[in-house]
Amino acid sequence: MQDEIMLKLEHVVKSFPGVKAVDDVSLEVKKGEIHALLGHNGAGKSTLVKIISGAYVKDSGTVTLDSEEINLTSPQAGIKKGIGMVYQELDLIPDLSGDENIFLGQNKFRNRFGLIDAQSRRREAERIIQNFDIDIDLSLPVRKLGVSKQQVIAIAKAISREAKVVIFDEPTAALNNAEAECLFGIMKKLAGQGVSIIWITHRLDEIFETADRVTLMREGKWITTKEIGQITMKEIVTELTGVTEEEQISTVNISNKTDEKLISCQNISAQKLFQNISFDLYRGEVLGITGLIGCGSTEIAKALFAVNKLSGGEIYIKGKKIEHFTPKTAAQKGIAYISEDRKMEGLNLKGSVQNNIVLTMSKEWSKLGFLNQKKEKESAKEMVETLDIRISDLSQTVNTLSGGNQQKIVLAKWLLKNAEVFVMCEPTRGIDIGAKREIHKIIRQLAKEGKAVLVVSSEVEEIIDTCDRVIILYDGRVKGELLSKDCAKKKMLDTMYGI
Amino acid sequence: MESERKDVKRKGCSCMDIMKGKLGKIKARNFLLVGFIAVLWGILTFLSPHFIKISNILLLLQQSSIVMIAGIGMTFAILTSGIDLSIGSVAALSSVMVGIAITKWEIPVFLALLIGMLTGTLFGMLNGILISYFRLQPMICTLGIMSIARGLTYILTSGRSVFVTDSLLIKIGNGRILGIPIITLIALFMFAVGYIILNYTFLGRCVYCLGGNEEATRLSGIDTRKMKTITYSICGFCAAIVGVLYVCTLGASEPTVGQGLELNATAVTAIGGTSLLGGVGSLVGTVFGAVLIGTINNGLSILNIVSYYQQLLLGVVIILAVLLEQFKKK
Repeated sequence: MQDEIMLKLEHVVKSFPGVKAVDDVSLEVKKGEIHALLGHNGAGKSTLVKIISGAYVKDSGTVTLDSEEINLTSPQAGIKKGIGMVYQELDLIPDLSGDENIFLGQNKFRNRFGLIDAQSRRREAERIIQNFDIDIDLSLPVRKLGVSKQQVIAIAKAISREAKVVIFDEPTAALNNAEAECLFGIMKKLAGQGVSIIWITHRLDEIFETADRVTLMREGKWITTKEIGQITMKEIVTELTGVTEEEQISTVNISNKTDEKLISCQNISAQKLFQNISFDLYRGEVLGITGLIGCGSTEIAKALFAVNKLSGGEIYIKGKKIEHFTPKTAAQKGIAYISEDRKMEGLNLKGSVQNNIVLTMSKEWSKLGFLNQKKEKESAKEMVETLDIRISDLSQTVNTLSGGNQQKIVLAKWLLKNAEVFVMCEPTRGIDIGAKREIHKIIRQLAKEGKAVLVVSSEVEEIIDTCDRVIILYDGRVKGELLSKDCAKKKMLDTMYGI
Repeated sequence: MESERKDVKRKGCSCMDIMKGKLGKIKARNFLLVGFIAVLWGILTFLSPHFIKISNILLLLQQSSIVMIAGIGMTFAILTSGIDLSIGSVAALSSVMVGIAITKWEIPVFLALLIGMLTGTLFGMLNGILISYFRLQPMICTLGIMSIARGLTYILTSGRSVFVTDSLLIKIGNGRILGIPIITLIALFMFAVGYIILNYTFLGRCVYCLGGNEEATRLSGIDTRKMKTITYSICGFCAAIVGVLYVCTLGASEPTVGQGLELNATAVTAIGGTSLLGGVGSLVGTVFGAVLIGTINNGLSILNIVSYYQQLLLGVVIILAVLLEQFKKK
């Protein structure tokens, strides 16, 4: 069974204005295998799976599914052929129940009057979910479920039409380790049932445990496809980035911490989200806050930029107690907020690169309300060069850029503002290794230049690579505090799990 | 990182490239619209030689001016991903205020006009405050204000027209300077100011950003609520100018004027290529949209076609314009 070819791509090409996103890619996916697809952001893997799923129409080449050539023109057509997709941002309708979501758009549960037969739909949904050994209350609207359970619903939706191929687009981005393990179990189970799985991911450690084969892409081209046992993590990184091994070794942290307190939080609480948190953030320091999803770390970051309101406790900025806190006053006081959700909270996707970068400074630079467009252009250009943001020109709209470049634009906004305290939530979520390393470098550089950085991340490696000190939360409370140099991964993970 | 990165050679983006890219996009859309208008003018000239006479074209522009001004205000609201359904009623209320101020309170015309403009602007501000500070949905909020303003209009006039026979107002409404109708000049002036605000001021930048991503704008430290309130005030001001011009052209404050104006204004905005989702669009498009509608109305009356067809054709043009936008996306 393992050697039967389920999906075959031959010389597939897809161009967008000015860029060949997928350049002559040929690929075979076997029946019942877990096939990892790796590449930088902008390497073309997203475009490739969109062609497979039908969201994009290819320019040339052939796609063969189960020895039948297919020419899909829409995702609906793909679903009908048996290609399911689990999107990174789950495509569920928040207010519908689990079973309604799973069978959305399918018209098969009807009673003899032609009305919806909710009972048999629920039963069928339960049958699919049981398969995964997870307990989910299907009657709840999915917005009330956690992210990992929502993902299970999305997976159930993808396979509910006898899918032959299921594509996962970075499925673990929003999951904690235990949830991810659970997901891998589901993937293996599906593969065991003969479903072929294409799995896009940035987390290299994951694929060695779960995937059967791996395909690497770079700059739109196919690089290699290997059995998982025949390649090492180092080789993969080298292939993906084209960077030699010496450069990959992360720089040793030299602390630039000073004694000047920039932010001091005393016993801050916010309803059920977090309780009695106290910490100081010093100039030149990179402080990490980590924990499992739902531990309250993101909410603390949001409270520092007045996005969330506090129910108790005080925040001092440079020794001064803060009252009537709004995002505007926070920005004026030199705090920068880099959201975990750059598309919703960080960028105007319809706006140009230039307008996004200068947004924080436009008002200050303008005279009598008139924009200083010369200065804006020069500054934006300088930022683009400094951070090495890859764009074709400054008037390009940011929704056309990759995640890494978008994140750099968010950073550029606040660098331009000359903020002193950078509050960053999951600064490298959904970003490829190359850009990730660059952003980590920027974080260290900021500390060196005398800024203070608060990194909120659920990724242990990220915390170890960037932070001088880390606070570990468990269920809204401080569970432990470690200095980075004593930071063993195991110790940190144990603390995160509340041990 | 500064020194490290600077030596990385990048393909520079010269300002010419930027100019081309930016203008190119807007131009393509507007060229299409201008082309469509030109074809329409050609057909109309073929059908009736009277159409292309300068006097008629000026008349056409005069007829387009009111909806053009309303469209300018509406473009501001729609760019923030909102809408202002109250402009027709607010225009009527403003016109009634001018009429009452002149005939009942007998205050100088100049002051009466100011009162009219203030009325509209305040109602716009009220819309803005309700929408941004009290988080009402723009459509429902302005629908409510639409009814309130219309109600006030009827109450103030007991439903009757207020005749205003002031020579200055009549001159504004029907006079010409160098042969060009004064209200057209006013509309063009409003366009120029609006264009400058949208493209060269911080407020204009905010209008686009609000429509593009309000939350991200707020989290960039910008007082989005204030900016939104100002935007709706501008929209209200445009409605007020329309109201004042109603008095000038009709010689009376009619409580029933401006009905359906909000829909026509939305139509010219959409035809002009402004996305109803906000964040994308241009004022130039809106002006051409107004001219297009003016052409349809003027052309049909020149061809002696019953005005009922105007409505029908307007609908067709709106659908075509939006379809075109969809095709362009693909």
